[in-house]
Amino acid sequence: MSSDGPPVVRVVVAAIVLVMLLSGPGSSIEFAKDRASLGDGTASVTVVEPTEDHVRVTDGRFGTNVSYVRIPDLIVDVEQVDGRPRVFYQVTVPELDIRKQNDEIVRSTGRLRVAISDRALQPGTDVTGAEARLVVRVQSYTGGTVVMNRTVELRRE
Amino acid sequence: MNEKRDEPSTGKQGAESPDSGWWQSTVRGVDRGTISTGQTAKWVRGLGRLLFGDRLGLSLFLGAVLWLGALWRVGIFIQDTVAVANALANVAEGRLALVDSPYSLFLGPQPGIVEVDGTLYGRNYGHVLLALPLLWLLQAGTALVGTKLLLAGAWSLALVAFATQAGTLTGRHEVRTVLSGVALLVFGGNLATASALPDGVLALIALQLSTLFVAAFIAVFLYRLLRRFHGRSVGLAAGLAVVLATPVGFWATIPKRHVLTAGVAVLALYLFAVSRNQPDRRGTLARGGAYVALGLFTTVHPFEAFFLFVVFAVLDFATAPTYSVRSLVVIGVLFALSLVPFFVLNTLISGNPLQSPRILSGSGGIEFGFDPASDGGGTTEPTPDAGTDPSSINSPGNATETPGNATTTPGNATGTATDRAGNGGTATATPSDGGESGANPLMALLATVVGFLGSLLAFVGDLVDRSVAALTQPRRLYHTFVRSGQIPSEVSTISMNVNDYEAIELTLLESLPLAAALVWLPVAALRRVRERVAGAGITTPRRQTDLLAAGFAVVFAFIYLPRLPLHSQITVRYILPVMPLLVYGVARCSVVRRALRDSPQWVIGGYLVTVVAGGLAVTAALSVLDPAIGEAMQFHALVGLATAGAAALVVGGWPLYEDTRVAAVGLALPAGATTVFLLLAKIEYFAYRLPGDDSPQAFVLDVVRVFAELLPIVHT
Repeated sequence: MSSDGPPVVRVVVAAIVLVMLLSGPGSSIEFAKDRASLGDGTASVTVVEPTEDHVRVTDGRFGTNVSYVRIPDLIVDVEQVDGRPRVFYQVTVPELDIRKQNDEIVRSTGRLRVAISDRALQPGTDVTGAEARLVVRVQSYTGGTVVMNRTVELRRE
Repeated sequence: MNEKRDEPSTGKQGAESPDSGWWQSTVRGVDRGTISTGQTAKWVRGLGRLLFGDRLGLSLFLGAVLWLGALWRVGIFIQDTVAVANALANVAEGRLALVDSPYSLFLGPQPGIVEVDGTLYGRNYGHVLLALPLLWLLQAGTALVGTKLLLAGAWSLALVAFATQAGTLTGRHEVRTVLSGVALLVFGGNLATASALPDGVLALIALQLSTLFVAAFIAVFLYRLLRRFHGRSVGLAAGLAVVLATPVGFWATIPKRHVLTAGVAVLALYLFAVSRNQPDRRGTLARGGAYVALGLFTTVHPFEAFFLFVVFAVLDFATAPTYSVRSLVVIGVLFALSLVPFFVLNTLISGNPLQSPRILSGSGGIEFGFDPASDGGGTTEPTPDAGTDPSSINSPGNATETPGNATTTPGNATGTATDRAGNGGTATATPSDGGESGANPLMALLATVVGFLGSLLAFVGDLVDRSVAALTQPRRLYHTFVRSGQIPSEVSTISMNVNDYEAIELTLLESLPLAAALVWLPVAALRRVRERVAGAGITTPRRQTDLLAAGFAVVFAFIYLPRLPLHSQITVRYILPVMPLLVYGVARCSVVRRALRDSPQWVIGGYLVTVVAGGLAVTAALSVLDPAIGEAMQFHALVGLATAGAAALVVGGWPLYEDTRVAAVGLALPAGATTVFLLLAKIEYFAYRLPGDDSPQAFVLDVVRVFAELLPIVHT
């Protein structure tokens, strides 16, 4: 950063350095916010998806050569929110020793998606008769509510 | 390839042409300051020239830092990093032993930790010492500025510095103005979206920063090397390619040893080239510098340092510019001094100057500790980005606290003794190993050295046997170098259950498709042989440097063959140091140089179109296909192979069409495809862990986090 550069360069450098210094430990200005974390409260939610009566098992693509349990995304409509609860989504398939879960902090009303990545199966795994249990809860430090608890079959497609 | 026809004039052989504008603005700035002018300006100019070569080298360095910094996420990708980060945190407090463990819940059996008489130590202390000054700088910086804004501000200031250099290079002030404005905008964006980092992560940040800088220097030294041979444009293209179009960009902010090894190899290659045909002091110092780099690297990984040293020493003395006693003494003394840190560290840790933590971690025997797999690479996996999926955060496949894994070695396919070193778990040893005789210290030392050399020879012999055996297994070679997919268990040491059966381990060609341009190598090799038969010999610095690059690449790949393909590699990281050497080979190809010289706009245009249009297309395709992580990686693998085919065609088929525009596009495609892969892999596909924080989204630049969250692929 040369001091013989155009004014804009010096202005930019000065602005950046000034703001950096304002973020220092001695400053009362807090720039970097803590990420949203679970708190107290509750929310009223309605499950939009998944609605299917099964969870798909399909072959992997692009040479992966394994089968995947295609875990559907959870989509909920949040009608009312109080505090900082979370929507917790869990999928278990006891026969295949699968247990996957994810959650999202509820910040506002509206549509919320909670996704769980697909699960690859060991080659040769037989999914006949296996069932998946889909559980959705609204949770916070002050309690929890089960919104959905369904058991559906795994269907190879 | 005929090199003589299309060589740009590079001026005097063995000296980089001076840049008349070099550091002028800095010098003028100093001149006007209150600091003493003459000496300081000279010192700054000398240091700048030593590190970057010229203004373009500095600009390349800054550009590389900006790119790698934009992809940087603070966190632990592979479990072994915990031991090194803990070691740095303890060294910063003045001790080698691990007493505090800010990066793990407890101090116990973990990959990379060794126990000596009840005291725990980390490893890679050379890396730790390299990162220590950075940690001090960060500590000083965070005394004044919040950690997140310190990093974000530094990134934007680096962009302003880049803007200043780019403005001077192009002679256009508006470049400075526009890029400075972008720096301010990005800083504002980071400010508006800033999320806090957890406390106590400075040591980890310093480690990541150290490998990031080394990666940027790999680009700089490759630039300087090829600039010597072929001029600025070829040098710049090669330097850019290293960080934009090879997995070096992926591993730059993952503080494993691989980027350091690559850095040492490229630095040695550059200094080798500088010293050829230079029997004077400068040449001797350059050779000595290379030996010093290799010697110091023993404090990180003696195994790799040893093999690089052997290759370098053999070719250096075979092609030495002088065999004068004075030069040999200087080189010998420098090399001996460079080994002092190795001996001192080992003595302080194990009581034996020859027994490093890595040797200890192999259960006490050199044949174990020197094994390439003794970095625990087989046990602690990066995983498919399960994002905030708590189950996967604690799964064996994730980069989390899984001490129990430290004793599992899925890679034991070949069943030899050396494979046992793959566990990477805590090992124990006593300080008296190998040196307990107090009656005659000289005899004891001699016995230790003889024993060490005997073990070393036995180890090398065994390794060569296994590598030769691996060479006879075409399927193993195919799945290491060409196509991954779901690798059959009988030909691999990949433990698919560790990866949750996801096919995330790409081959060399899939992760570096630009290497397909090396299809010209057999032709060039035949030509060299013919010339040699005709009596021409390998007498020019270029061909001697070619030989060293090939020697490094072949030997490095050879020694790791028995372990590959292996899980936890992502882009065959064990042979990452080979990749800049392959870029060097590509840049030495005359077709490539012609494309860069005659059709630079097609190279740049083709690359940008591939990155932008290809990136959008890949994002759109994957958002529709909704792939799992293994499918996404294999998608990139296939795209990589397709573009590799294009590169091979334009180079191999050159005599059939001889149009540099076609060649330019054919080369830009694999480079652009790898950039897209790097971008998505770094910000989207994989999870990083932070102590005390279960979020994998600790991007250094929060605007990149926001961008990543908007991408609708490989959702978590």
